[in-house]
Order: sequence, then C-alpha cells, then structure tokens
Amino acid sequence: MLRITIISIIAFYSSAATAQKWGNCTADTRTIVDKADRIMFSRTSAGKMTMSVKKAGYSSKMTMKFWSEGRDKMSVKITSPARNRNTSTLKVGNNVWYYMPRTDRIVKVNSSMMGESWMGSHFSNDDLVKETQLYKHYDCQSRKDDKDFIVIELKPKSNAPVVWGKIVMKILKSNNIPEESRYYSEKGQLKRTMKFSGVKKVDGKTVPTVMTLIPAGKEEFTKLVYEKIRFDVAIPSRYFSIRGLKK
Amino acid sequence: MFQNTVLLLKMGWRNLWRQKRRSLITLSAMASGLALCIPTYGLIVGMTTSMTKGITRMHLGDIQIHNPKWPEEKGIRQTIPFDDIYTRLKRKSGIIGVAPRIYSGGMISSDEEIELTAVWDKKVNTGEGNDEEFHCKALISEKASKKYRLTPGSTLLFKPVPVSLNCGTLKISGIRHGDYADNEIFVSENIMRALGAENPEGKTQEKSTDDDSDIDNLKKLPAVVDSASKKENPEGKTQEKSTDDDSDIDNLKKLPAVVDKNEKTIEKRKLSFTRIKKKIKWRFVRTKSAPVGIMGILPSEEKLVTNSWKTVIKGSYLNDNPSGKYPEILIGNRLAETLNVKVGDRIGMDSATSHFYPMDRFYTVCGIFKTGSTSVDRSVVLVHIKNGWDKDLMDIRYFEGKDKTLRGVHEFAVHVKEPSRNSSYISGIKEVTKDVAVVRTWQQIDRGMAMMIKTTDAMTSIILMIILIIAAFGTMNTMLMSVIERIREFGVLKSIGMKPNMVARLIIFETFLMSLAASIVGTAIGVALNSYLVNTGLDLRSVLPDGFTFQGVVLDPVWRGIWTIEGIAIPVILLFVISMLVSIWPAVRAARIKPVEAFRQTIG
Repeated sequence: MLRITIISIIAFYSSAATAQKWGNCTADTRTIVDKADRIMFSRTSAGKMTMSVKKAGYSSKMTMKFWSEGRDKMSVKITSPARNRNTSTLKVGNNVWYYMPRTDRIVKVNSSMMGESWMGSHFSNDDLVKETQLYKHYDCQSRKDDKDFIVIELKPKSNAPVVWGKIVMKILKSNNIPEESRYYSEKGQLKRTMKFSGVKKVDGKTVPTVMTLIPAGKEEFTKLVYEKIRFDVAIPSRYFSIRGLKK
Repeated sequence: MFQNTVLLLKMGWRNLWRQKRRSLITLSAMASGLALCIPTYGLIVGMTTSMTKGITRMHLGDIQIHNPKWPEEKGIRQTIPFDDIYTRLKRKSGIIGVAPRIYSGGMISSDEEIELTAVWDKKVNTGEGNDEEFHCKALISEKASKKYRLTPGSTLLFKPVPVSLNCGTLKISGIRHGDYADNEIFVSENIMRALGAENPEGKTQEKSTDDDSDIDNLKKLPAVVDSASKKENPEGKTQEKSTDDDSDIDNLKKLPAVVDKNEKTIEKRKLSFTRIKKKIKWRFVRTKSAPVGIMGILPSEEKLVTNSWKTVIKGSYLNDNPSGKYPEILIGNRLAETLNVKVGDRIGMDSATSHFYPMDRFYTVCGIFKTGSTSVDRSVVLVHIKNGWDKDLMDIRYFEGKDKTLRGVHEFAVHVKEPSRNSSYISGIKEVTKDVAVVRTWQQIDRGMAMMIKTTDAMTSIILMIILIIAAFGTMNTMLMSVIERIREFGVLKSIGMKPNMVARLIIFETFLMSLAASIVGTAIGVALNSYLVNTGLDLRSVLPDGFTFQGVVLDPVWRGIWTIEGIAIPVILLFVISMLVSIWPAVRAARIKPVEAFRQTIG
C-alpha cells in the first residue's frame, strides 16, 4: 500500500513538476518512443538481410546487403536473385538513386517515382526517405500501461509534413523493443501494420531481427529478416557516394 | 378513289402554276433549305467519323480485350493469355487485325560524354560534403554553356570518378561571362587535387564481392556515445564473439586497416604533397532522363489495327525481326528533344516488371514519331512486344491459368471489317475468350468520347430541323395565302358536290407536289455542294497550322464531308414530314369553307 502511495506521489509529482510533458503523456513516454523508434538506428550499421514479398499470386525473395549511417544515409545492394544482382539503392538525405548494373546507369528517383514501390516490396521510395524521428512530428495522444506492454497513441503535430493521421505503437515494457506499430490514415482508417519479432542480441544490442509490413485489408506482406547485422562500425564515406553505388 | 387521287394531283399541279412567282419563291426556299441540310449533315458526320477514326485508328481499335480486373486497376500482372486468343481470333472472318499490347512504365535516359578542361579557380566553393545536395559545384564558361547547353542546375558525372572525391556529380552553379574557352569549367582546389591525383590504371578497382567481407571487415567505431551503456552491460562483448561465427572482431583488429576513420585526412595529406595543376582535361557524362509510359507491340499486327506507323517522322517504325545489337525503340519527337537523341542513338531504359521492381536494358532509337498530342509525344515509347515477354526484362506472362509459363498480354486491340457495326462482333469474340477476358467496344471504353459523338449526332438533327422548319413556315404561309385567295373557288367546288376531305387532300397534294419539286432541286444542289466538301473539304490549315486536338484526339486540319445514305434521306424525309404537317392547317381551313359564306366574300 505504501509502495503504491509512494509511486503515485512520485508519479503525481513528476507529472506536475515536469513542464516537459509530451502531448497528453508523461515526459518519459518520449524517451520510450524514441528508443523504440531508434531501435535499428545506431550511429552506423551494416549487415545482410532477406526480403520476402508476398502479393496476390506472387511471391519473391531477395537477399541484400546494407550499410547505413544515422537516418540520413543508406546504401543497399542486392546480392540475389541473379537477375537483380548488384542493383543498388542509395539514399542520402531526401535523395534516392538507383544503380542499374546491366546498363551501368544511375537513375535519380524523381518526385513522380517517389510513391512507387521499392524493389517490388510494400515499401515505397518515400518510405526510405520519410523516416523521420517520431517525436519531431508527433505528439503523444494517450498512453496505456499493460502488464507487459505500453500502448502509445501518437497524433501528428499540426502542420507536420507526415502522411499518417495516427500511429499506435505497442512497446515491450522490459526492454523498450517495439512489438507492433499500426499506421492509420487521416480519416482514422488502418493502413498498414508493422510487426517486430525474432528479438535477439546481436552485436551487443538487443534488437528485433524480423520486421513484417502488412498492408491493411490484403493478404499480402513484406518481411525483412536480418541475417547479420553489425552496429557502430566505421563505414567509409564512399559507400554513400554515387561512385560507391557502381561498385 | 384512285382516279380521284390522279385528278386531285393534276388539279394540284395546275393550281401551283397559277401563281408562278409565289410558288417558285416558296419552292426555292424549300430547295435551298434542303440544299444546305445535305452538306451540313455531311460535314458533321464527316467530323464525327474522323473523330471516331482518330480514336480507333490512333490507339483504341474498334474492340478491346482485357483481363476482367484491368479496366479498374490496370495492374501489371492482370494479363490475358496471348497465343491461344491471338491465333483463334486471327482465324475468325470479319476480323482484320488483332494487336497485342503490353504496358509498363519506367525511366528513360540518354548519356552524352563530353570532354571539358577543369580550371582551378580559388573563388569557386566546392560544396563537397554537403549531404543535402550531394554535388560538387562548378562554374562554366559562357561559350561552353552555349556549346553543350549546360545551364545552372545541370549536373555532370565524372568519368571516371576520382577516388579521393566524395561527390559523384558536379553541379553547374553558374556561368562565367567573359573570354574563356568553350570547354572550360571552373572548379575548386579540392577537385583539382582529386583530379590531379587520379591515375585511372594505377588504382586497383574495388571489385564487387560475393562474400560478406564488405560487411565483416568494417572496423568498429570507437565507442563514444555508447560507452556508458556498454559498461553497464559487460555481457554484451562476450555475446558479440559467439554470435559472429565466421569472422570475428579480434582478427579484424590484426588486419591492416583497409579503411580508417581518418581515411579522408590521410588522403588529403597525401594529396597536399602533390603539385596542383592549373588545368586538367577530364571526361564527363551528362545524363538526361524522363519518365515514360512503355507500350510493347507486335509491329506487323499493330499496322493492321492502328495508324501509329504513319506518325513516324524520322527513321522507321519498329521491325518484326530487328537485327541490331540492342532492341529497337520508337520515341516521340518531344521526348527526343528532351533527351537530345537522334535515330540510331543508344538509350537506356528501366521498366516495371511483373516482379514489381524495375529492370533495365539498352535500346537503339529506330524512329521518332509525332502524333500532335503533346503528352503522347513527350511520354510514350514503343518497343517490340518481345521485350515484354523477356524473362530478364518485364517477364509478362499469363498468371491466372494453370500453366504459368504462357505468354501474356495486357490488351488486344481488334480492327474489324465494319467498324460502325463493331458491337455485332462482340459475341463472336467472346466465344474465343470465354470468361478469361472482358470484350468491349471502344464506345464502352471511352464513354466520354462516345457520348460526345452521340451528342453531336443529336445536335445535327436539331440544326437540320431548324433549317427545315424555317423553310416550312414559308410553305405554310404560301399555302394559307393560296387558300384564302381561292375561297370563292373552293366555295364553287363544294357547292357542285366536292367533299370537304377532297378539298383538304387537294391542298395537301399541292404541298406534296411542291415538296417533291423542291426535294429534287434541293437534293441536286445539296449533292453538288457535298461532293465539293467530300473531295476538297474546308482547309483549316491557315487557322490551325498544327492540326487540332480535341480531347486528346488529333484531327485532320482539312475538314471534309462524307457521303452517307442518311445524309440525303434524312433531310428529304424531314422536308416532306414537316411540309405535310404545316399543310394540315391550310387544308383544314379550306375544308371548312362553307359555300354560302364563300360567295359572300369578294376578293379582288
């Protein structure tokens, strides 16, 4: 009883005292969301992954290597199947380039192509670019603490340049790892669900190694499985250059 | 009864010529109305026909066949089987052409290699390392700007890219006016050092690796941010060793540092020892690209269905069996301008595939077309349908059947013997396609256009009615006048026993005879006028020099009439019907004349 009182006093005190509330939630919610949001982002990361895509009457599997630095720079190179080998994607800031090995061409993705699918997956080129830190553009709407999970509802700040009208994140209490994120349209319709699983300790970090994107209302998905991932490695800058794309 | 009719006709005919001038004026009004109606009808039908032809012979065909889901979604995997439908439709009578088509989209780009002289200029700011733009910057001489059409904003790719340069592209940030050579480009010290240090053969090219060395050999960053958390978590490091089975960090540390975090500073230090040249010649690649819609066609069959081969202004149309190194591509004149390419040039294009990701290929420009429709000329390219079936390119198959290896197409455009009766062919085609596909006439596909043509038809009828009604009022006036003039005469006729309906018939016959005469004269003049419009037409080229497009349909600038049976029959029939209708009132008036009252009237 005493413990509960103390906790509630502390909780009351902290919520009253800290002016830095995040939307309707306590200030630590922001830390939780940010940690969950950044779970795959280290200073740098490099690794191998398999992407499986399932669409109506179609399925594909690709393996690829990737290198990333923060949120701004990313380079992906496809290693199999053979017909896509060495096709690369480079993202620097808001720009995306494709490298087409057969014609040895570099194609810059222009605004009209940004909405198109990335390598046949349910991710668009825009998804690569528009990965913004959640707390920058979203406010916490509500927070529910479960036994194991924390469910946080995020609403975009007014005038925020984002596509979603609402994001609901389910985060594992014990280690801040997201379990599921649901993305809603401005009209409140569920558009896609991202599921995280296969939590493992890799290279000193506990991370989910399987990410599944499920578009709402379809029997389809895109599944990313990290086979190897290394964090905080020194990645030469040429990996994030047009020159590096052709390599 | 028959004798009466003949008698009445004779009387009517004589009566008409009793007032020669009036009858002739009325007759000429009717005749000229008719004479106007015939070519008007011809012209309007001519326009709708040329519009219909424009739509169907440009692209649509008379009938189209698609996957049932295609009209709504236009998905790249929504195909119909090719071989089966094609061969069976080709055997059907009344079908002239069956053009298979595959649709895709992608980016087309042309490369142009130019050699420029890089000149060291202290005032130029490199811009290197600016991640937002990712370009190094340069100024260009006024002459070079004109010669190579390089303007501020144009980007050039280094070929090869100097190893010690981070930026892959060079962005023109401005033009330097003054007397500089026509190949000079002004760059910063950094770029000059990088170009000067470059030795294309000396440097070992980094090769693409199959193993994971490009991931495993990366060295760990010195822990700065994470140091605190790692100390809290001592197991983390032991865990690292056990998870990384093939290559371990301990080994890496012993390896000579392939990449150092100080790589850049070392290289720069190294570079600073080399002497900077004032001018260096270097090759650059300028890439121009544009998004396009791709249409895969079977050239020989497409020629039977559409006139797209007639729009080629340079080079030739696609060949059924091309011989060159690369497949052929036909592009629009506006696209050719954008890409700065001509017939015979090589261009690269990636296209959407049935696997949803783009695949690329080189093509040779075999021809340039000009349809007159800006959007088509700028963003449509034609390639042989083989590229669509190619497993290494679009890989379009029929995905819904049991056999997934069957070749598929997105569309068949069918040209039939009697395009105006195209809906009558639907059932025959459906026998072939069964429920695999939907078969629709072009009117069902382009409802807006079909509706508009129907509206034009209705408008024609209204115009014809107006012309003829005006003429008919003249007729009515004439007949009324002649009835009023002849009241005494009718009184006499009635008093000697002529029945009222006979009197009425007499008036109607008079009108009929006048209409008959008018229709003969009017048709003769109308036919003469129309034959001029059919053969010569109205030349609108002085008003519309480029021809004109209407809702995306390109129309011939010479507006021609057309011969149709309806074009003559409808006005003539209308003339008769309207004249008969307007003669009813005078006829009734004449029939109602009472002999006693008629005699009382004195008309002088």
